[in-house]
Amino acid sequence: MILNLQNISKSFSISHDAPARIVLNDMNFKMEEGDSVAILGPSGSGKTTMLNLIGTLDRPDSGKIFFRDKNIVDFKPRELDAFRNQEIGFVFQFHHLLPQCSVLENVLIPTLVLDDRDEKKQKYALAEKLLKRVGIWDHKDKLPGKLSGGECQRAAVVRAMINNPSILLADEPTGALDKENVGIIADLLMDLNKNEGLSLLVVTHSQELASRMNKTYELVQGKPVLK
Amino acid sequence: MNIFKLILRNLSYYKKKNLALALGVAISAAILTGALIVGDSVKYSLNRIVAQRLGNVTHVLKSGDRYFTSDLAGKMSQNLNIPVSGLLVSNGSAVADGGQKRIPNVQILGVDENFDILAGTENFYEELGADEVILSTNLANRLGVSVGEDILIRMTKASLIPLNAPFVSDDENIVSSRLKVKDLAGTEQMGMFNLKNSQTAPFNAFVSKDFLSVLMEFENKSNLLLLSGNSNTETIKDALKKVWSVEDAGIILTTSENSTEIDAGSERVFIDDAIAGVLKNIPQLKFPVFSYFVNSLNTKTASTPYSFVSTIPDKSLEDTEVIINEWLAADLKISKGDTINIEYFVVGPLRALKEDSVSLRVKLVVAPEGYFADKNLMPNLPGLSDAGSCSDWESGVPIDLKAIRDKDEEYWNKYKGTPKAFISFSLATKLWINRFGSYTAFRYSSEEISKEELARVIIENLEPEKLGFQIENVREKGEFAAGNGVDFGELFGGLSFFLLMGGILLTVLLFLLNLENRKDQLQTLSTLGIPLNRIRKMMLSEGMAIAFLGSVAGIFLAILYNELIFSALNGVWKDIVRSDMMVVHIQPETIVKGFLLTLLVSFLTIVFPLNRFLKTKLAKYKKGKEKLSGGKRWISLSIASITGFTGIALIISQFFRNEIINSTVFFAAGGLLLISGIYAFHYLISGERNKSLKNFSLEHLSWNNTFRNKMRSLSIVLLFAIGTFLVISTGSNKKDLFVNANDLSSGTGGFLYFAESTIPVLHDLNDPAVKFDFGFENNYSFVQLRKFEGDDASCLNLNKISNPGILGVNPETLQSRFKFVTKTPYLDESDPWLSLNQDLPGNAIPAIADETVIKWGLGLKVGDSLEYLNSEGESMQLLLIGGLAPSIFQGSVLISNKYFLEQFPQNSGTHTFLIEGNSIDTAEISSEINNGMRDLGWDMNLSANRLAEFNSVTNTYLSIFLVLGALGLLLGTIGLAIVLFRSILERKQEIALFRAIGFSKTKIRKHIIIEYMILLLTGIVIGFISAVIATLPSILSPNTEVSFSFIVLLLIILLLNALLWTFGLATVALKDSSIVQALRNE
Repeated sequence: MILNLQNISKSFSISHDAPARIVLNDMNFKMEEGDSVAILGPSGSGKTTMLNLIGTLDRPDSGKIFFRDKNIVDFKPRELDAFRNQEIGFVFQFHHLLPQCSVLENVLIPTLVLDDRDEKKQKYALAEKLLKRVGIWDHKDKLPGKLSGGECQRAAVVRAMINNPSILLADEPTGALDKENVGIIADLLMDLNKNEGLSLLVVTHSQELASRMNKTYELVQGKPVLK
Repeated sequence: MNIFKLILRNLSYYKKKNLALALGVAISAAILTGALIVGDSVKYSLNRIVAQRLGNVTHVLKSGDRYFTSDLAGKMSQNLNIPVSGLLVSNGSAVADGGQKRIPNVQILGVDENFDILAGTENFYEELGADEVILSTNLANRLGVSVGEDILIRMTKASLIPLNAPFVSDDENIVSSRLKVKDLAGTEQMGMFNLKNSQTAPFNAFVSKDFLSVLMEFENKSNLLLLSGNSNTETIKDALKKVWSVEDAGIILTTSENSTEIDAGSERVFIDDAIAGVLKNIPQLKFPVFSYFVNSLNTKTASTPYSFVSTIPDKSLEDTEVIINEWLAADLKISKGDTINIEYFVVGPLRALKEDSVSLRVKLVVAPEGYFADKNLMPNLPGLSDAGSCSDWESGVPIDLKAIRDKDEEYWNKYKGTPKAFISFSLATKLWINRFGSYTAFRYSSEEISKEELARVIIENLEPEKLGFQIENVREKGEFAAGNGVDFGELFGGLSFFLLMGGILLTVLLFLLNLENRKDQLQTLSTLGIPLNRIRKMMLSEGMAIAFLGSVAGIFLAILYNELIFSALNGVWKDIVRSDMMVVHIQPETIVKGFLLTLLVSFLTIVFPLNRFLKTKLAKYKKGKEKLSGGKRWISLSIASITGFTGIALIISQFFRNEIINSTVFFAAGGLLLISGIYAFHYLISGERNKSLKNFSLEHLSWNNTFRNKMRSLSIVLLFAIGTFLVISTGSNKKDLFVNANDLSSGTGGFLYFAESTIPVLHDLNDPAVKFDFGFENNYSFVQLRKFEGDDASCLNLNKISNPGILGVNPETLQSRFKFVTKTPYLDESDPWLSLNQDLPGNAIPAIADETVIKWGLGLKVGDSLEYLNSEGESMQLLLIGGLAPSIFQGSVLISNKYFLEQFPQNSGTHTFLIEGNSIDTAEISSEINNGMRDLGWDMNLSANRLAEFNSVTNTYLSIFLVLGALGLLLGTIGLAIVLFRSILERKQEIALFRAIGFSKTKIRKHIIIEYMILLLTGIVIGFISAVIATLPSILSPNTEVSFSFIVLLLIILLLNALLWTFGLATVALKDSSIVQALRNE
């Protein structure tokens, strides 16, 4: 089991006098290695919050999150950075590529934490392989501003994959793309899941993308319900 | 890909924003380094002035009012093996253009060929002939004369005898000479020669010493030795002790007519106590002599005018008895047992003569033989002893020549001043002791001791310091004074404080703006697992790289800034340096220091906002629930309450105390209220916004918006509150230079004029007879002050002063005048000036000075002491018992004449004058006094003008502060523009929404402007109220003129400036393309 969320609650305070708004309520969720899961739900249902908690971008009010038997809620900041860097790949609705860096440089950003030269060389080779695979190797030296939205999102997926993560967390990865690019990204993600054994957890509004995952959950009143 | 590469990419990609940030750093660098360079430059300039005014001189030997032999220079030089030059120095005035140009306070320096060595010149002074003068360039410029032209020099005639000593004629104490200007001495020729620690160039006239000696009517005399060498003061003292002679001490040894006695007298007539102390302890002493010039020796029926009376060598006379010679007995027709009356003058201060008399019984009538015929018993009194006949007598006392009979002339021709009567020594001491001495000679047996041996014994036992000979390491003192004077580095650091704050604020805001723009990027990096520390390092490295470039650019800006400051210091701000010799001096280590300091400031400026940013914007992974920013609200309320109540309590306490209003307390109260206001505002905006929808409007929305971004709102309020506070408090402290100058309690003491004379005034100028002599007809009065020369400790001197000049005053003349601002228990509050006469424990002498002089000039406080050497080389302590509000005495310390004459008994005459008169008659009074006193090197100014000159220094500092403060405020408004730009950038979507739902541009612009005006006005009101309270004493004081119009104008400019920025940026934000872009993003 790659993920096991036990009794997770998360609420947000808006003001001093207003009661806290409960987003996730004593939620439990499990995910197997190599699985592909889609989370659906209306806006404000807590999809992104759930993804942020798993990605350690946010912390639950209560509960435990086990990543392969380790409770990541107890991780110290340094462990969290390493965890995010090595085990998780993130893809967002917007690509968030650095405008000042070329496509290749953007893809290699997560390798900045590496000190080993040989390892860095290997990452470069991997970047080449992945960029070729997503069809944008020819654009490797271009700045993101020169690429289309779909191409940028493909580069963002490659960036998420550069450290061989165990799981890819995608938050509306196709939300800002046209239909053609939605297909390309969906194909890419499924390819990675099937051929690389990458676990895939996707938060989406897109029924089309969700239908391609092994399992689909809907968040209802802060709890995932299998569809 | 590596971090370094990423940083380079960032630097290049965001170059415009980075350049703006570098500019912010450059401004801070320019201010910081600029202040350091100003400090260095002023220090360097002062040291350069020390080198210019002293040339190669390292030590000097001063002899007070004494003159030593010119041979002493050669002997000292030989003994120490260093160049030594003896000078004959006097003070005077220079006159040119037929009397149209008159410059007082000119140093007349009689020099010889040795002076060239000390001045570092070759044959420049050596060839000075008689009737020739070399003028310092500044004096020549002031006189408007050039080489070859004639000037008139008028100076104090040097006198071996203290001018106020009894029987010394003052008829010819001024000499003048017409001289041809041979050359001009600039700084290269030591034209600025000055022994005083001051940056102001003196007026110097160099003449041949031989020629000056002729004018002074004596030979081979000097009164100043200049030495050049590495010897220490003790070595020089030892050398002096070894080589000096009785002649240098002014002791005259003569053999009596019968060759049985050696007479030790003084060229100063009366023998000083220090010399007398040695002379009377020499074993071969036979007896002391005290001779005195009396007005008459008379009986009821007869009178013998103007005679000398002396003492007898033994104790055979009672204090009621007298021995007379046969000539007197015959003249008065008296014999043994009869009574004789002796009438004589006692000379008081300022030559006040008091006639006194004593009646004695004639014990013996003696023939004019032996001791009773010794002409040498008459001391050497110029004007008397050298007179050919009685009718030629010139003495310091009035002589009725009609009273002199033929027989008196005959006696004079035959016996000169041989005493006609002899009294006991103890009686002579009782009657005639004075501050100049109580002996006129000592007699020794020539059989027991030779003249040479006596001279050796005297010199062996006499300490030169006891006679006022002082050796000073003037070079060391000068360098110390220059090195420890006003620190312009600190001063300009302080004056530029707000400018620096503006620069730092600008840097912080620009940096935050950059961070804000790149927030998403940084979040992405964090999401990708780049540790926060690495992100921090990356941003810090990026920031520091920009800071590095900014600091380098800042150094060039600093040099430019410095050039501007120095042209101002040598020009419009000259009031604070009093010299046009200030030069920019750039030291590499200062540049490095400024550079590193800027990097440090930049680091601090960047690291704190960065940490805060990363903490609040990126590090969301916190334990437990998120805390809302309002959680610290109570801290703001507590600080606002504590500071507010303390401030109010301080003000109330001042109104309930009947003492002098303490401006520091008010300033503290104002400062506390400023803090209170800012925290109260923080408390207010940390609370809940107004949720009521009853009056929902754009204004309502504007008000609520101030709550939205608390830090933004607070920075604007803070900026304007502090800016307003500084501008108003600075403006309110400007002093009106002439308000209420006639008040007795003002800094003028109610005196109309303050005057100084180069040549001492020996008489009481309030004496009708003296007034008549000087041609004073109008109704005005004088307060005359004695002066012991010292350094000027006023704010006009930039050097560190430890021994300011001392003024001796009769405290009664200053009663109820001036105002005391600090006091010790020794200062009697009802009659503070009379406290100068009191006896203090430990023989300390009570002294009063301006509080500003005590605090800033001397770095002391009331209750502290100043140490001086008196005329006998003994230490004397002046205890500062009170501090005056800024007054015309600035620069000097005042003590009572009682103590002044005790410590400097031989000080002659007065040099400083306060004149009280009707202010309506200023022109008439000025003309009359200036005419009467012009030969004395008279320099007279309206007291109000003198005070204004001191106040102008304070005002100039305030002006600099105001100018630099205004510049800082300008920078602050650029910062404000950045804040506005940032917040408008953040709110583009909001503005787009307003446009999308149909609001007009005008309405949205109004909404934005109202929102920011609320913040600006809040800041201004907080700053204004606290500044008014802080400067209440100044505003209420009659001596300040607060230019409200100027302050209001400044505030309007600030408001308009801010309004313009708000308007401009709102307009940019409302541009259609920008709105469309924002809507598209939505």
